[in-house]
Amino acid sequence: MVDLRRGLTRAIALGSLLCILPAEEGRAWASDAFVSSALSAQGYSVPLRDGRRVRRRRIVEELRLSLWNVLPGSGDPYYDGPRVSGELTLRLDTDLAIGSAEDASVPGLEPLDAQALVAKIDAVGLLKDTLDVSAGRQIRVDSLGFFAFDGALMRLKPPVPVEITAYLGYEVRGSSLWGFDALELDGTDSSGRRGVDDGGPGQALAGRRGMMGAELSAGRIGDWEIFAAARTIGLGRRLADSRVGAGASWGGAPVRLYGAAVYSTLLGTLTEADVTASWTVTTKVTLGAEYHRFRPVFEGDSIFNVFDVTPRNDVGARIDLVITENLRTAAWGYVRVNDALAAKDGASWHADVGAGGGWGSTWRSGSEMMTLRLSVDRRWGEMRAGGEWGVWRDFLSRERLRVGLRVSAWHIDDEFSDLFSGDFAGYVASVRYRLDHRVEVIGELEHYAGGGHDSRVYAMAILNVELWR
Amino acid sequence: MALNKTTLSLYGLVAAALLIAAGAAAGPFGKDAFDALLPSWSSTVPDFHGRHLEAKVGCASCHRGTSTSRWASERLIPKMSDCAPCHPEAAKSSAAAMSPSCRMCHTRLGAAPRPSPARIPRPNIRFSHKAHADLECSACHPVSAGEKANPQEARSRDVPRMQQCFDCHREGGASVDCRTCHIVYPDGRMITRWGEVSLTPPEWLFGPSHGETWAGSHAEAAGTSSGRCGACHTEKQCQDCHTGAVRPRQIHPADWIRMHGVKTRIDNPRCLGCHKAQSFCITCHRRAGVAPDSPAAALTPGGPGRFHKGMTTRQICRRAKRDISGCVSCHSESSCSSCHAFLNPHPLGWRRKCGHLARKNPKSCGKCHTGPVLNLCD
Repeated sequence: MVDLRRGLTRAIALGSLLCILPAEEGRAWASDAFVSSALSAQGYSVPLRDGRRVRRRRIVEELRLSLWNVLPGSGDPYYDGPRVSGELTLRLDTDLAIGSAEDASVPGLEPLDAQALVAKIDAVGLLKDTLDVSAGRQIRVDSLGFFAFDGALMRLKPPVPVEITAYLGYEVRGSSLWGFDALELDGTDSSGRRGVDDGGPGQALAGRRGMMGAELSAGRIGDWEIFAAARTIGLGRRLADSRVGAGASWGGAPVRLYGAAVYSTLLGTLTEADVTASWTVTTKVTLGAEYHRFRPVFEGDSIFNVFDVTPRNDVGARIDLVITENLRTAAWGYVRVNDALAAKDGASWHADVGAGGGWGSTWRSGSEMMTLRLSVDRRWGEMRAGGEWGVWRDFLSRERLRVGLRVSAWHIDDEFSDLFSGDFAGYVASVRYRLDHRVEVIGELEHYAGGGHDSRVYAMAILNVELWR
Repeated sequence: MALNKTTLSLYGLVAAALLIAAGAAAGPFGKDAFDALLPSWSSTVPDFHGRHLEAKVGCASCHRGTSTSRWASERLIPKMSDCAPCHPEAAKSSAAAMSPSCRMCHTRLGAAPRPSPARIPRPNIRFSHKAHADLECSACHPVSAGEKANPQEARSRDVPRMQQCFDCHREGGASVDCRTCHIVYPDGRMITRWGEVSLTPPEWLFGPSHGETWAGSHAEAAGTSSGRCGACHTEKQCQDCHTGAVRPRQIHPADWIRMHGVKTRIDNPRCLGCHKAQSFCITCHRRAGVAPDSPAAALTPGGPGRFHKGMTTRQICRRAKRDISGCVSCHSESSCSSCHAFLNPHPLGWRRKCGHLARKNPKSCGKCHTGPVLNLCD
């Protein structure tokens, strides 16, 4: 498996390199095609108190190929037949600073990693626009969250305001072929690649994990939208982790309500609940209130699931103001209380209450933008307070040159460690230059000081190239 | 705060630059979305709709081809030849100079010897008159059709605002997909940038107003109506943030690597949307010598455990109950089980509930317990 991964990684590296080479404009067999490349280089060096430095020199190449309107005539704006499209997004992630003897003994550090973020074919509007189908590696967002899978998805759209979506496949994990782990559940890393708990007794779920799920959504029933989703990971195994969620939103202007909840059948507990309400008082003033309940959930075989955790409850409010067409501002605040801690430990509620808030404002005109954000969060004896002011301006025609500057200042009290407490200040200077409509270069330099440390410098350069459209 | 003179001078320069930039930024306000999508235009002919309506001249008599027009960009204002059946002098428009009778209609000509063709900017929307042929013209053009008395209002703007279109489509069962009316890229996404104007959904539309608080609150809209998000956004844009190679600075401001600890402990449900603690976080924490089983920890002053700064076991335990997600960004299961094999981490009444999990996955129990674990459950 390791050899296969290594081979494929080399293949993708070579493929990416070939695709970066100037592409000759030619006739495509598809009606519309798009090929782009984003090459970013980041370098930074963070001093540690013990005199060492954590360094990173990261180069990431992302290659995206898309085909649309493959069927004849489907490029016509008033075409209403079936459409077929395809998408492939590949990423090669290298960290040239990895290599010391210490790094070698850190599980999970990957000096070279290839990922296929999306590789799918979509066919939509089939059977007189009653069926959509997609196959391949895809990302899905529903009321249960954000996840990725390799498989097939089918969406039925009968001539009533109801849609039924069903999918079947394998969960995309760090150990999947060209996989990534950002969207899998936390917990025991039994997939073997990232190796956080290599060799432990919990290697119950090694290899691929089947996944299936369905979602029923009903929209346009008056002002209501109702949805319900269910998902099971670990098909065919004894340890199948299932989650079900349901919710509804009501969007009758000027008030909108939304409520949703997610239940874990494996743990037998409610893991998430959200209720939000917003009221558009006028076209320029919107008020909002929200309640969120969250109980962390880990992979099915993780011992973290059986620890005593107290779900957190956030109650918040916000106001959004449109002061002019160009000036928007918002203020928000929240209070957070953990469940039942008082009952178990006899601690007072005061000890458990956290609170925070902020204010942000953005002014934007044709070629200028300015932002100011201030926030404070205080909880459990920790505090983070400060803000950031940014200004950007475009020069030359067609936004060819954009220059930006962000200045920030923060005060942090970290309960766990003096290493990260103190007053910090710094700035980010950025330049973006478009060579033409297909090529742009972005450079950023960050410089920070404070907190009793040496100053830190971060540098980043990005080259975005649209190879073919 | 350890800021030396050089650094302070640097910040002084930055502040000065900001003031200059702020002054430079105080330019004229930009156009609104309506201007961008339907640029206004003017003609040398004033609004004669009222007079023609009094004479009971139907709209289609002058605006020929409307019932079959499929494109908003099609020119549907009458040509001189269209006027000729009723105004014979219009047929003589090829004359080099404008006669006085020409000026009866072209009253806005001024000193110009002859009118130049009206330049109608291309509308940046999709609209088919043919698809709306069963509606009265006045439903969308109330001024021109005489139902709304405001002859001074520019005819080029006598079209409905988006909310009116949307309400009519929704009530009539027509498509309310943004791309029904808005122009799209070849990939089907809406073009949201028109010159200086960026289109964002208004407050009244499904609720996805992209205001100041949107970055932290968009999950519910994405979860319930991801199809709508797809009108403007591709999965790549989701990935750029959620699995991104470059950190989005609006979410991770300033010296984030140094300062993220407190914020992530406060806000970690959101962090988990993009970062996996047991690979992304723990890997870096081990490399930096922060995690207890880091290879570098032994070299660090204070060694493993220095991170909790003299907290008692009870204090650490209480923190873990409130924020276990923060714990697992440094601790692996093996580092937890080394202590919790002797210190019960389960909630009160666990014996009554554990049978369900133990039957499903005894291996998980076996990380700490030996023997048949079901015997431990009530």
